[in-house]
Amino acid sequence: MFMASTSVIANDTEANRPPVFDMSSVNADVVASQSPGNIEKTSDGYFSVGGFVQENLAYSYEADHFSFSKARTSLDLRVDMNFSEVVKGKAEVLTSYDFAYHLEGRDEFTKDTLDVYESDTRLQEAYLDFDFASWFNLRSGRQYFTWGESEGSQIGDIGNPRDYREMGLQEIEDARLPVGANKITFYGSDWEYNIISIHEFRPNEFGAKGSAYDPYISIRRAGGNIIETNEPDSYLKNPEIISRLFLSRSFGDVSFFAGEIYDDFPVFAITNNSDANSIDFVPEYFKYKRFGLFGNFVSGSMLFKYDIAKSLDKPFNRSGLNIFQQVESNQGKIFGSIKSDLLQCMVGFEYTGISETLVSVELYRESVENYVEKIFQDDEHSTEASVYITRDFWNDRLLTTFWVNRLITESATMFRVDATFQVNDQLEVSLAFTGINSSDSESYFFDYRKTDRAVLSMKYSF
Amino acid sequence: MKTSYTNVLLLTVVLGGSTLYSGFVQAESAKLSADLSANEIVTKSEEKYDGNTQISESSMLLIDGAGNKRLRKMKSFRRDFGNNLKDQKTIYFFEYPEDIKDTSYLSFDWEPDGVDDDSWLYLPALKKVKRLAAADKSDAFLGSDFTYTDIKTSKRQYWDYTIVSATEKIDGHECWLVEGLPKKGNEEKVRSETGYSKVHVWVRKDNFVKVQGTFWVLKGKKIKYFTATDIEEIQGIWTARTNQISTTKNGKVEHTTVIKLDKVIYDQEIDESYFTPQKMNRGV
Repeated sequence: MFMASTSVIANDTEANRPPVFDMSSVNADVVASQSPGNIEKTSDGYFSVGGFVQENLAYSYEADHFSFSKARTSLDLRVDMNFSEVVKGKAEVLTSYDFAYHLEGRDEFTKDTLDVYESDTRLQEAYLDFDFASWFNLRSGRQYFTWGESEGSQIGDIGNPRDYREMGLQEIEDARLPVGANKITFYGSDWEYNIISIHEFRPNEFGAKGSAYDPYISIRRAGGNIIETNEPDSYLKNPEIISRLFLSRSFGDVSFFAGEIYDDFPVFAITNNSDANSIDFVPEYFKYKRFGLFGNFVSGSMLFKYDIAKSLDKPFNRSGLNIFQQVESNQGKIFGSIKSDLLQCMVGFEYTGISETLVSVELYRESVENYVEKIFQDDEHSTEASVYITRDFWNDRLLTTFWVNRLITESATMFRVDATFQVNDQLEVSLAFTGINSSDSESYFFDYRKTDRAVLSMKYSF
Repeated sequence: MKTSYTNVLLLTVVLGGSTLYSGFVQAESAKLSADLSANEIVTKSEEKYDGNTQISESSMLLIDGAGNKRLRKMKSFRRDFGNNLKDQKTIYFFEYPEDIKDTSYLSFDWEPDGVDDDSWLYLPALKKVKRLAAADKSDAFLGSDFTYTDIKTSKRQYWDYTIVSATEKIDGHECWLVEGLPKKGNEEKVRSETGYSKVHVWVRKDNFVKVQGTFWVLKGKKIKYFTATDIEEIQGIWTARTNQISTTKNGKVEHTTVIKLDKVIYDQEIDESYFTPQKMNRGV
């Protein structure tokens, strides 16, 4: 297997020269592993099948009960199709079952919790790609757009909703949700223009009622009753439209975007249910306009990044005090939301000058315009700071990441620390610690301060 | 495999297999010359024609000290640009294993000194094309034993070369053994940027292919050994189909990277649209 080199220089250094490795046996192994079932050639092209099996085990070390909070097995199957030079396609399905609820006793959980967390099957990406020319592409189906420079904040990233069923503490690659859309792209040598019509209404996904990640804990505690969501009607005639111009230059990239989109976070329509002696909150979704730019510029080992957007007539929830005052005044219709403009801004940098390490720092600020004290639930100004550090070891066998997001205005901190070890080409094992810290009882995140947990994951790709 | 932004910068020249150390592969037949200086030998080795474009499929094997192996397969496209065709644009697409499939890396390697390279990375897990800042040049590429210094356009001006021996024989071929030391007056910068305190290269006298190298690494006082084998003439260009580099410490091999060029085509027209960030998430 090893062939010797034939250098005639005889010294200590050259005496240690390793023999040459014979690659032929390794390539044969790889060919054998790609069995005929994986790659098939059809009369028109190719399709390939791949995916992964993953086991996630979580222990919530701060929880008073249900400490072993996850034992989820997931199967992901992906098919890539190459029909011709012009037409390609992709389809991906993810299915999972969490045994933790069965082990704990399913009767211990609400129906909503079991529906949201116990089992799940979903279509991920599913689209056809048409490359009619090197300068024109049409992608039709469920897809991602992934705009913006910010890793945590959704400023320019306006096309895809996010999965907040665990408050966004899962791996960032699992956070975005694909949507059904038609995307037309024109390409130039150093520019790209997209125009996208989104035909599938898909808001952010939230934690279930009764779960540790229920986003409406404070409303329910105050006696509010969350009614089934009021979602927009048929979407084919009323799509969201977004557009982006991307430019690439030697000093950096910049994108300008605009769109009329549904807010992926709901606001509430409020009803005073005097018969039931309760206040009913109905989540609703409204469209608004957003425009802005995002980009970067590079200097040596530093990359400076920015993400800026202005939203016009964005809906905001009214404060609990304001709703209570409306109820008390018996004014008839109760207004649950109010519209105003919002300015969001992220500035940050990434530094890669330390060996095998990337350091990213982001500062985020948003301001509500025409703010009226005690009417808006949100603060007039919000500030966050986040740090993300990643480092590799042992020739990339071990990858470690550290992420912390300090919500300064909310007096809360979110964090995720993980390490992933590549056992071989197919198998990786990772250990992560995630959680939320908040000592301010007035903070929204105070109710989630005991959700810290350790997650062990094993993933086999094929 | 989870991939970070720091570990997926690919081996531009090495994955092509034809321009490792900026000119390991040669195009013209060379004559034996006893009168060439060390600088002339290195210049001829690195300035030889290597094709204005290159399309290749490669396998890269990573072997740790315990013998555990990880395999990567990729496809790469290179095109020379600029007035003197000294600038290079290269794009890579990973095809194996499954967890990094469709990852791609784009690099604009500008020849003038002081001009930073431009690079982008597409990670399919994040569905995002990301612009990258320049990494520490002594960092490893994709966990391999090649560093940024190793794969970028060679900076001959960094080194003072001398001929150590003119009578070396490697695999039956006569070679010069050339030693490179950091250029006087610039030692600190060279050591800091390259990570090396000294280099030895063996250059074949018949075709000016660099067939062997030894590199003294400052960090950790390691030694790296490079070997090029399976050297053949493809479309008139001498090409090393297999390149191996091993990192050792105190005589013990810590890690080895072997890159095998499975297929290569030179000077085939490649549309400029291939070398754009927009191409990266569309795939090869």
